[in-house]
Amino acid sequence: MDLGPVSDSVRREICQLASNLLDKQIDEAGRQRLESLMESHVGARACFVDCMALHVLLEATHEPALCHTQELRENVVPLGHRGELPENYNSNRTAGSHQRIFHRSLGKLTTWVLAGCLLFASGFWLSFRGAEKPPSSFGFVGVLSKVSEVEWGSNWQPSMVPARLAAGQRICMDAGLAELTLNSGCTIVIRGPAEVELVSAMRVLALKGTVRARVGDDAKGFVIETPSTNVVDLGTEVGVQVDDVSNSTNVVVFEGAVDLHAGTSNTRRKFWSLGSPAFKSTRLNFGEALRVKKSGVTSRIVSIRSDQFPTAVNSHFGQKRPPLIRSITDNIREPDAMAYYEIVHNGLWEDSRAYVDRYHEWNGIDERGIPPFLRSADYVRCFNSDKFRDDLEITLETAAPVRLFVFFDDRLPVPKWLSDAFVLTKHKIGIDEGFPSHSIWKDGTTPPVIGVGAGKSIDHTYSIWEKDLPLPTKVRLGSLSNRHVEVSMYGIAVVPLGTFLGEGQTVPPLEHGQ
Amino acid sequence: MANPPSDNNCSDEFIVHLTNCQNRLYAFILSLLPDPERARDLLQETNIVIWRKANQFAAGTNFDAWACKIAYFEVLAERRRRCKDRHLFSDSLLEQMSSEATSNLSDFSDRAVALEECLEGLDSRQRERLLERYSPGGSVNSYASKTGITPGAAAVALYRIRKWLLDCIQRRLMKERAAWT
Repeated sequence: MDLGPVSDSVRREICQLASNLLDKQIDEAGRQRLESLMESHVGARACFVDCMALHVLLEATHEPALCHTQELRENVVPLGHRGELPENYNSNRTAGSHQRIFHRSLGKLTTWVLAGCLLFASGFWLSFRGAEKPPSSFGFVGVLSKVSEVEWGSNWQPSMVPARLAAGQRICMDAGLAELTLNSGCTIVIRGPAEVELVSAMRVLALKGTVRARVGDDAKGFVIETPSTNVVDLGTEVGVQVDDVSNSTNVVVFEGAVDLHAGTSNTRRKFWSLGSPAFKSTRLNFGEALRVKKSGVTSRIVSIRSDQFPTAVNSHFGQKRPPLIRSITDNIREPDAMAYYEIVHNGLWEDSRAYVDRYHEWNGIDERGIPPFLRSADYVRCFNSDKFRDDLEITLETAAPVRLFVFFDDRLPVPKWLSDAFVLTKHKIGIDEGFPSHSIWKDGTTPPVIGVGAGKSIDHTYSIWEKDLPLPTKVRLGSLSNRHVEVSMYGIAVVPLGTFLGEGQTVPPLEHGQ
Repeated sequence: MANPPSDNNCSDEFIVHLTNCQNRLYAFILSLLPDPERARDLLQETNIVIWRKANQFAAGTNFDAWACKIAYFEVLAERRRRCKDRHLFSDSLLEQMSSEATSNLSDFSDRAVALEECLEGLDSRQRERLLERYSPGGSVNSYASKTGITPGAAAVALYRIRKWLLDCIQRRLMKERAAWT
């Protein structure tokens, strides 16, 4: 017999029995009574399900909900709140309070992230981008989606990965890599040692360590706050490195642009009022980087290593051989210079990005691919716009016996510094000057899309010049000696001299062209 | 930052569904297997099955209903594995519960929003009680020993809070529905 809806008294009784059941305070008589009521009333069953749902919701929300009413209420920034903080947000909350909050939430993470865990184990990319966002008061701003060789700091460590992350969560790592996917669509890779606090899905506070953020269109305005600057991301890929000893911040733009507001809020106000030029906001574009001191004074970052700013948790870890390039500098001294060189270790493959400030890619000129002896070479992503500098002088310092290669645009006459010191090989490498598929010109038309794979979409060819350097040394490279717009800067690569390369091939004997 | 390659057939949409339904699925399993620890374990196993059966899900159909169906079979399998235990519900009641719970939980996200508002109506003492109960490792017994009351008294206090919250959620849901009719 099914009696349908229940009276208030039965509802109360069901609720009490269900509550006792969840709290393990029910006896056998209570169990029998509960079962009996459930068999008799469809309403009793519905009420029981209500109780179970409430329990799940309380488990899911108790940490943010209680913090919401006790301590985090004013600090949790609603999802979708772009980059702006409530006036009463206090980023200097004590580590203890965070620790307490984290510990409350950890035990419940398993429920939410099991699917992701499974998928993670399968090499799955857990993407919450575009996912239905949870109610704002839940305070969850994203997911810790991947980790590699992480040594967690003392205040918190996830019980499993993936793990959901709440607003206000501080991630402290002594070493390793962690990848976060925020609800705003921003992906962050943190390299330890690091201390990073998630203020909201649109703002993080980096107190120490390295953060690389990829910000999609949905997350434009994403802010990385550091002790010395605020980096406002305009839809880009940016790396931020915070040195907590010198209180300086390195900001490197890998794609798109960021606005940089140097100095802390207090110093900004103070110096703005004095009209100090050092404290003006600065826009950094594709291929530009700056160091910002806490005083607000900025300086150029001449070069970076790509493994300083890993793009993903599985990248740039476990390098097989020591780097071959110790440093790269140039003679550019203008105070407003912001271009940098990127040294990519083991990085030259098909479709490798050629310049820090362009999407151009190196490719084999036909389906055979780039010459085998270049594969996995260490190479330098130069600043393509340096092609306009006829006084440029680059100094490359090698760290081991190497064969040094220069890729030189075939549209240009060969400069003397190159023909005098290098030997022309018979090999060539191609450049694909396309753009990512989502690119649109200002006039609404779409540019040519970059190709994938050897011999695809090759726009121009470059001759490969080489020079053996049997001891670590410094080599000077000159300019293109040509201001023609339609050409590109040369490329630089090195491979170990007389040692095995990545694919088991030795450096071939020199095969000279003309 | 390139996405790692995906070597399975799961679409992003599938993952979003699976992620978003976790709490609802947990509530469904807990309704059939009202032991939070076991229900959580079974949720893990259910997720594995759902993941393996990803190719069988027809895009555009009701994911939650499909997932709950899988969860129901996992509950049955769990009961078979523990055939010597005393089960709270008979097989026939379980089947009935299964079909009803799926639709009862269809407004789960509305409940979450309503709960958020209702929690604000609790006083600080009630919040403390909830915190003690729902903190990791928290239980009625730990709360009772901490406050010097009996576990029974602590359970009654918790029941009252839950009942008040349930009534509050129901009122808010009814109000919400009335506004749309």
